[in-house]
Amino acid sequence: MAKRIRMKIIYPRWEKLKGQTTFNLPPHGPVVFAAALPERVDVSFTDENVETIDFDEGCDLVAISMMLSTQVKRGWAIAAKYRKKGIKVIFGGISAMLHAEETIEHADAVFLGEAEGRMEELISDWEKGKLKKVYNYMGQYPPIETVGPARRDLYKRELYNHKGVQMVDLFHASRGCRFNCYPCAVAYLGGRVFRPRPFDKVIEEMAQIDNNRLFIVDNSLAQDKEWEMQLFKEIIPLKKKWISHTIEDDPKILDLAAQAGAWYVYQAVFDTSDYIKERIKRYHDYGIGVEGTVLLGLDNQSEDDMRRLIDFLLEIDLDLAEFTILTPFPHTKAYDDLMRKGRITDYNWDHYNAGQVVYKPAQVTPEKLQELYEYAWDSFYKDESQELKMTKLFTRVMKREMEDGTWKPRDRNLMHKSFGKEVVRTLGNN
Amino acid sequence: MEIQRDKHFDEIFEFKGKWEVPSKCGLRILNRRGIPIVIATELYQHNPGSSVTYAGGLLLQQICEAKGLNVDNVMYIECNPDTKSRLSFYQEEYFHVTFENKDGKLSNPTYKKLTDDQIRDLIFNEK
Repeated sequence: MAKRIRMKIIYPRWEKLKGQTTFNLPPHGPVVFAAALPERVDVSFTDENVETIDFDEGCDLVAISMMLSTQVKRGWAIAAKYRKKGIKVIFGGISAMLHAEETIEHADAVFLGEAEGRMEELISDWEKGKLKKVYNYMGQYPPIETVGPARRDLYKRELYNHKGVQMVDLFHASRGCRFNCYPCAVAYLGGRVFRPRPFDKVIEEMAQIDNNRLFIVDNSLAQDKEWEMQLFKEIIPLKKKWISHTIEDDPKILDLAAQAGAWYVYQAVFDTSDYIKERIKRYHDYGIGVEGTVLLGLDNQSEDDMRRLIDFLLEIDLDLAEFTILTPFPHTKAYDDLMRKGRITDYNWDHYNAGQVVYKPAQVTPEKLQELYEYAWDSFYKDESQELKMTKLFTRVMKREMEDGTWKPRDRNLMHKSFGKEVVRTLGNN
Repeated sequence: MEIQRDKHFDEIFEFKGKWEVPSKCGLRILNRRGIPIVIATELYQHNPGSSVTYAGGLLLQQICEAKGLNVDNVMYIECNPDTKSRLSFYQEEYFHVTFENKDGKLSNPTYKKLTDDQIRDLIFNEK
């Protein structure tokens, strides 16, 4: 019988943006990776954003899964502790791919690419004491039907709960993206070819998730109209409620999305045009909420443009807004353009949180851009706090759940806990 | 988005990008005043792998190997056409790129943006 292997998967912590909600969602990458491991690997999972790493817990092998650039330095520090103990550390995930050259210096092995069908090789090499420094599967995509279902059984569910309300579960119905957006590295990471998962696998996995609320994290659902319509038709019977990125701007598709449980979408707001105003209205016409994602610091934005954009958001009835500063992540066109012109001023990846200026903006000073960013958060949530706006969105989804019989009351045992910590209650409105 | 083939390149050059990712760029090689001018054009959506900029010296080395050129004796130009997307705000740009040649490995690129006059002269031979 093959010897069992104890693997500890760690998801390093990072600092949230100043204005961002403090909600911690169960991370998707580590549990998708875990699903690709051979059966003889016993896995434990630690998300450092909601719990402390027990460095004394016994394990044979550590896997550090990283999504954000702001996780990489912490990931390297965690690896150093384990390597000092003589435990081998492998790295994988989006930011391991974006920062591969540097990560190699801190790892026993770095896995680049998608894990499905490739983990037997890595584990066998480790068993033989022949771990390679790099497992390079960049640009070589495994058959899409081999993806999933993710190992959500690894989550400590009570840690992803705020005052009895369970956080959404992350889910993906496809990989790859046909778009080539200026600040995005997805084309480098997952390829420019849209790769939908088979519908039966999608529905099977979605139905298994013990959570009525999901975040469909696909880069954009607006990749292929026929696929998108079929996806929504297949989802309808599950009665799930979900958040996603952009949905195709087509009445038939929006109607199907609403029937399929679309709760709210992340929609980029990049100018003050009537098109944007109408786009938001059309989502609302179908009962779909909108969180505007607003990028500040593009080369075509003057101070006036940014102020106008921020003011415009208040006019278009957005349900929520999230502001970010242009950040030149490696393998994006933004990085290439700014790097060629010598405009990147800061390569400390801890600062690549999209809330800090790490380059020379074209039309304003870095200080002014930082100020406008703070102004954006403050002015959007001045009259109605983020918590209140979020509560309104929650109320909306609860009503829909009550109508279709899927509503579950909050877990009273966790009413006094927020992400595993005791809730400190204060009197009054403070 | 289509990049005008006639204007930008004579052939599609396939190369191995970062981590050997299969990648493509537009390629035109001109000869001006006895010096080969290598122009690599970014293809954006039509490039499945590393960008011309990110591949940098790796790309120039592969072009020179494939075309029998000496890396120390070419003028290397990167062309980044306008993406013409809704978020695009850069005009088409050409950069003269030089590298440090350390033991045959080209690294530390330096970029010098070409002026309109230089583009007309060097690339379109219009002077």
